[in-house]
Amino acid sequence: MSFTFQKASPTAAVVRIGKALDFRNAAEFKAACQDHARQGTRYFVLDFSGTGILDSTGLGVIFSLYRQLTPAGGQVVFASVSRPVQVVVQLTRTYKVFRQFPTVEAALEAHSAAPQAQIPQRPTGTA
Amino acid sequence: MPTHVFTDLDRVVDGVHAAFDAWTESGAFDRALSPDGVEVFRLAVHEWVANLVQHAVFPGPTEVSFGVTVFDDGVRCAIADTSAGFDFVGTVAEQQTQLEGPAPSERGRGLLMVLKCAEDLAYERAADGSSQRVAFTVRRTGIGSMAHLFRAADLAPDPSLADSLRSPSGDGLATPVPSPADR
Repeated sequence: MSFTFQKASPTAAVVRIGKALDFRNAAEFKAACQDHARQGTRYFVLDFSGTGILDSTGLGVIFSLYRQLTPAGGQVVFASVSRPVQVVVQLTRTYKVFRQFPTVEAALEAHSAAPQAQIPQRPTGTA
Repeated sequence: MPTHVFTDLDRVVDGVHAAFDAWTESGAFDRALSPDGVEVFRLAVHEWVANLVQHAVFPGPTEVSFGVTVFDDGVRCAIADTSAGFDFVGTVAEQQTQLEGPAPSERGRGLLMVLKCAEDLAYERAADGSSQRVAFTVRRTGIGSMAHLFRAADLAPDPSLADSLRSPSGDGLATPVPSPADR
């Protein structure tokens, strides 16, 4: 509905959530994130500046993305968290799961400074 | 404060948030709720209305009304509509059961979230299936935690899982945990 993706590096993307991540656009968000994950994105920075609504369905799909990425060493982090989103994060204590950064730039710097996860190389060829 | 009435279901969510924006900008909640309390109130109303938009069945013309009363240390809202209503207690129990299951869905937390935000919730459903009404209070104090809406395992990511999946063998198998008999 209102979010946009910006590739920051081969493995990192910034998702500008826009006004809302809720039951109306959660499926679209999930599909778009999965597309990016299939293309190699492992580090998602969710930019919540100006976001007025994060509801239970929106938070649910973020968890879904988190579960998809974690086995491959990926991360989902929050940046520029607005007050309405911060209230949801605090009430649900999801700050324990999703690291928060004051800005998108800080989140990307943390990613580039961190040692990159080694993604397991699976055997290729036919069985 | 005026009651807002909507007859187009597609406009209810945006309409409710527009009402909140106007009330917040005018300072209507200032004496009753903290800024965070306003967001909790908005979230509770949003979750109820979202549930309505996604699941309600309207046997006749659609009408949703939303009114708020402000008092000294909180607000009380009433949301009435012309849908057939639903088994409130049963649905809450289903959501709770589903949440405690081995693989909770990414959906199905809305009513639990409303219950956590709200106090003194009253739900009425017309016997003839022609309407339902919910009313609840959000107070200046009394906002708790919704951590129970996610599994403890979700809130405490287990790094050993990711580590095991990055194991040299790359087989995605976690390192076996020794059984008590092996120790």
